[in-house]
Amino acid sequence: MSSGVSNKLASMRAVWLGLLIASVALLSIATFDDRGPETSEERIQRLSDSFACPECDGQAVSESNAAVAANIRTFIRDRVTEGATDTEIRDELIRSYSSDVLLNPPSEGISALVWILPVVVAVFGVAGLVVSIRRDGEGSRTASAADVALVAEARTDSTSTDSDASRPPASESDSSA
Amino acid sequence: MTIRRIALTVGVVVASLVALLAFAGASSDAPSSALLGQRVPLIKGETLAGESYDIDASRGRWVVVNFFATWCPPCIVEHPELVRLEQWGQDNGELDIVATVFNDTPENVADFFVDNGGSWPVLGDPSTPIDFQIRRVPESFLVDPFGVVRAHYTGGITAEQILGDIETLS
Repeated sequence: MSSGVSNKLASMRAVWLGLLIASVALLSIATFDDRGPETSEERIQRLSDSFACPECDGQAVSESNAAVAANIRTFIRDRVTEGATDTEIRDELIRSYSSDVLLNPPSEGISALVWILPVVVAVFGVAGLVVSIRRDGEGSRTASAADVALVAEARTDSTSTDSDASRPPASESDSSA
Repeated sequence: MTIRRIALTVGVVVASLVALLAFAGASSDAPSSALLGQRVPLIKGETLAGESYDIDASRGRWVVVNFFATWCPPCIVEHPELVRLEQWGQDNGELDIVATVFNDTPENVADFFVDNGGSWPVLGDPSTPIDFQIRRVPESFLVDPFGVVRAHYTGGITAEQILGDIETLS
């Protein structure tokens, strides 16, 4: 192997290594970014974002102008002030308005289908794609008799054309003679 | 052909699951409130007038638990009926009324009662509408003398309706 090729390989490795280090660093920052403890206002906002208004179509409690949403916002604020945990607030709202009040459906019971179905569809989709590609590959390896005949004919034509082309052109003296 | 069959089977199964998910829990014969037949949720605390209230103190009498707001037109229409009921309750001692204001201010409520009459306790705790699963106002519940929720009304009540139900349920 020449020194030029090995230098190129080394620089490529350095680039990939650099990308890897940068990725790990960015992921670490994203994962462990510490902005300090969550304030009560941030917590109220987060909780209000996570519940659906019972009278609106999929709208978050934090975004809805409906009276029931306003009441839930006040309820969340009061319960946070009283020191209730997120789970307690969540359970109290579910007890009254069922799990429909959650913007993200729970991953248990019939609602788990919301999470499972896309995975099932994706798995079957990928499996179907793989099977289809393999089938196409197998098909191309077994040429039909017509394909073989077509290729043979094309080769024959090509050979005869090539042999014509390999003949030296007739010189002017030959043609004039 | 086999692939087609598998794809068809998977498609049917997925469609069935989606349909199951979409219609799960939908029931036309569900009661209007899950509280019917249940013990009334606790209503206890300070009224907007600064007095203490506990629904358990009304045990032995019927109680109309009303949810309202001063900005709600059906609540304004319903209010004179509640005034009539309060009068009936004061006359024979068998009925109390308690209201919880829904997304409104104490000042608006005080002005509303001055303008329209009525002297029943009004509370402003936002957890009470949640305990009663209130979605919109007006809504009312009829609680029997044993503290059990016996009827649920949405969209406004009349005095005749409540008194008729009390007679039927007694």
